[in-house]
Amino acid sequence: MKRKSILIALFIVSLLSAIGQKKDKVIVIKSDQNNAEYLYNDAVKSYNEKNFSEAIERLQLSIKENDTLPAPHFLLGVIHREMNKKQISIQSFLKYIELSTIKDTAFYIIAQIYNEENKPDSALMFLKSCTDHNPNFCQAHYLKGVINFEKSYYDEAIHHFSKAIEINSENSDVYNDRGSTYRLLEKYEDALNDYDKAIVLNKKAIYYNNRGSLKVKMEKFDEAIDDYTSAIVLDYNYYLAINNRGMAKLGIKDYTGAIHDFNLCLEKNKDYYASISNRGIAYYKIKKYKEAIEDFDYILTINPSDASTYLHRGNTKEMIRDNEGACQDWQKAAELGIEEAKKYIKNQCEN
Amino acid sequence: MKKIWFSVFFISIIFYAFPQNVEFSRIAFPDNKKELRTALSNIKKGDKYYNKNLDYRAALQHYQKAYEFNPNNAGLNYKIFLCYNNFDNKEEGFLYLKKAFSLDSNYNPAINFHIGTMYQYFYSFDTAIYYYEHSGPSMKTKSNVHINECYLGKKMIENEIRCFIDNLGSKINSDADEYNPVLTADGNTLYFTSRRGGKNIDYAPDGKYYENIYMSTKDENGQWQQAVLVEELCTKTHDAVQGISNDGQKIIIYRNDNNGDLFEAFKKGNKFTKPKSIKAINEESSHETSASYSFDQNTIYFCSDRSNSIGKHDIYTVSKNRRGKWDKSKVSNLGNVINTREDERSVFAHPDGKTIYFSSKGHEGMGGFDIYYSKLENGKWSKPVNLGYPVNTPGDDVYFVMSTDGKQGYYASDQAGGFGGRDIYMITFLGPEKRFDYKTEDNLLANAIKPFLDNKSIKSIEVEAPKLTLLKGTVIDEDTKKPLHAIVDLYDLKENELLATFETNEETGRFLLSLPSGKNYSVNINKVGYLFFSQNFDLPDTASYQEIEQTLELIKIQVGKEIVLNNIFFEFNKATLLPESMSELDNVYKLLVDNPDIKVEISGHTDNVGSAAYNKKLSQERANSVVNYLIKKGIKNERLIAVGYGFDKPIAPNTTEEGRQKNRRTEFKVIE
Repeated sequence: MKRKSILIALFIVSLLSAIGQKKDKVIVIKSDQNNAEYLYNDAVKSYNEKNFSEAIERLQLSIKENDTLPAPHFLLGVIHREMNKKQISIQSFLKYIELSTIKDTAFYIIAQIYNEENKPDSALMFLKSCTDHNPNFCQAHYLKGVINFEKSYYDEAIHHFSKAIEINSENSDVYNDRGSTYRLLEKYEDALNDYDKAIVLNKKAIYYNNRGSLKVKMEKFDEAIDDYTSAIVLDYNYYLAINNRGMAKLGIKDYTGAIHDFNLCLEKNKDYYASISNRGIAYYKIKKYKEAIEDFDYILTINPSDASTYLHRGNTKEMIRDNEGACQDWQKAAELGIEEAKKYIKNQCEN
Repeated sequence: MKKIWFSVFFISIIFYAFPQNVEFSRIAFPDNKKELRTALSNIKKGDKYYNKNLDYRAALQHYQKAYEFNPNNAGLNYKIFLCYNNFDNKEEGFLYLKKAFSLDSNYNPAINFHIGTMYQYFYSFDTAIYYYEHSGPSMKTKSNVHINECYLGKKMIENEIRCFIDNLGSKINSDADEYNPVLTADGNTLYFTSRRGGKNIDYAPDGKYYENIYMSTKDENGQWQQAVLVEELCTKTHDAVQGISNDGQKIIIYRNDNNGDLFEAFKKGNKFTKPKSIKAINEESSHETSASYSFDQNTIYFCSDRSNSIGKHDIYTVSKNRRGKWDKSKVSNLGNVINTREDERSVFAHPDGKTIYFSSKGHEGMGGFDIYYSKLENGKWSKPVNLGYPVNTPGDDVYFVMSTDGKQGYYASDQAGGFGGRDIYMITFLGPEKRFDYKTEDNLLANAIKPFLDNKSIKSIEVEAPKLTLLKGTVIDEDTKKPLHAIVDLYDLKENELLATFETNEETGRFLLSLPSGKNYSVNINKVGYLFFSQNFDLPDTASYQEIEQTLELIKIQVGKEIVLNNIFFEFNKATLLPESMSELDNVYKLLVDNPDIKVEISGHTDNVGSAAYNKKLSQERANSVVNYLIKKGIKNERLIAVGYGFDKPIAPNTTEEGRQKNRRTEFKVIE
């Protein structure tokens, strides 16, 4: 009996960690002396030992013995999800929902699976069911926020992130994500408050990076550079932050410093073409047109349909008085959809 | 900040390396009394040349002789600096100034200030600020002005404007000074002032050759040809070109007479007439310099330091009276938006009719004269805008002219790499920075795997091209095809006002008009014995820059000859004459008065929209309206016949709107 209780307790802990839920409802399985429960408890043990096939076998036997027990269906759902058999997983959770009175976590997991399957509308439907059953299911509100963000429904996203924060004000990720949403809505002061809060709760490189990028938007380049530096100190290989710091240095016309950062970024990730492009622009700014063209040429060998790089190379050729070359590049940029290039052609090439 | 301290430290080391001040005295040179006397005599002679004759080159020669005897006198080094500074050899002069400072930093209360100006001139703004801040109390006010210039200079360099600056080459520039470039509105003829030597050209008191006027034209490849002296405009002394009319038929030059006066000459064939003093402008005791014609040649902008000026030289305008003469009573100061307590010089009125470019020491700039522009909007001059670096520098930037299309500027500069002295350069403006898309990515969501791409663009601002039409034409005889010397009248049709009258060149028959957008113009070309030619240019405010080149054939007044009256307008589908027709009708009236023996047919024509009967009726009524107007003005009834042809005589296909517009017309035909 004691052994069984321990196994059940272990299962609950593992389940919670599997769904990433912190303070939500716990599924409690009452221990009886019947065979179905023995089989279930054996399955929990196999699951914990990562012996999924044995666990599935035990669970199927358990269900055969007594198909009214919800817990085996739940565990089957969890195992199939881990085995990436998402449809079977969903079927198992749905069966669990049919049998159980405590449904919120299962709805949430199904929503997670649909979201992973890139079916945001289905995910939102199950998240709604989840929060209908349990309005305080914090992670469900958060996920609703994330899905709405990705669908570019920023006002909706803010509503759900705010709900999640109402329930749990200690989750730094939610503050970060709401801050990013405000940033896209150009509500920079609100965004700054959220990033500040996220950093107070948890000093993550990503939060510093995001606050840095916000400050670039607010043209507070020096403060942005400080934030990017903090991000890089926390994660020396955070090449995005290094590239972004280079960008901020362009903002204060520290072109040499910017080139240094773009080079450092490329040391961390030699295939990060954005940094090569930015470095080309920085070379342009310090009138090193040959080096700038070399960078733009390189990007075009990798991606011959990069419209903005044609634009940049055309702009650079203009400065070395290669008007013909500039016009050809602007023409290509225009063909690839850059409107400004058409104006340049009209003003400088049609004579 | 580190940089400043390093420079100051470095300079201090240099200064301490110099020896101490040595006076020109018997105590200092007890054994060289004769040489001392000679040196003192040279300094005295140098002072005389410097102060009385303003001949800095001769002054320098004497000072240098004294310098050979005693190079370690602060005062002498300072004087040599002033000489070099006065003929713009600042590099050389600065060496002597630094030495003067090292020998005796208190020699002159202005010495810190002068060192500041030199560092400012050489773009070392931080070091300049240091010296200005250490200038004596007497220089405080001036120093503060310069400190502001240094801060602004730093900003202007950070925001450098995009342009190419090209020397106009050896066919224009020489090892002497060239400056004051002025161009005709078509950009094909350049006049400028040079201090180069040549046959019968003497030295001026300042040690350079006298100023003379040169001219160059572009060849078929757009290259400047070898500049030639414009002999008929030049005298034995200073003759400097100041302004040229858009068509190149009138020129304003500067001569030294009466403290500096302005003269005007007109082109007859290939030569200018003898320049005559512009009495409405020139005042005996004041210095008149720099002048530019307005687009319609009815106004001259000029600079003068006359008694009622706000500062030193101010910019003024003078207009013509009813008789077409420059009128002294129509001189007015441009006001305190343009003119400051400091100097304003070298004004240039753009052919767009509303923009002036000028140099000033009084508006915000980076030192010396900077070049600004201002626009006349609703009768008021806008706040002058600095043209920015590198057009403007810490030195004197003057005599800037902008091409008609606003894409090129011309000015003189003594920048390195030239042919010597000041050279004429062309600035090609590339417009604001082009668009660049910076690529930056963030992990906006804490748990998202893919970063969020955020392209940041720096978008360019549209360059506002001057809004005007440049009409270039040649008037010839219809039969002989020979050029004609004719009168070109420019009317504002809406106001029924004669804006300006021009003449075609006697030899070439050419004319050039600048028509600023925002008016409905009629251009009428007249010559005695010929039917006039009229054209309509309805240019709304938004009409962008265009150049039109035409050959216009004037038709002799003979029976059977006809012209289209392009500026007669009627209400839509009616025969009521619009007010815009009055100028044209008055020209028809004048033609009939001047030629009392002719009898004419006024005919109305339509396009083919609508029935033949309707169009015939409408055209007949319109011809009647014209004839009735002329009869009311006093032309005898029997000299006029009104005929409506409807759409029977099209002159263009009726298949396009352009063609239909041409067909809707009124014609004038000599029938007897």
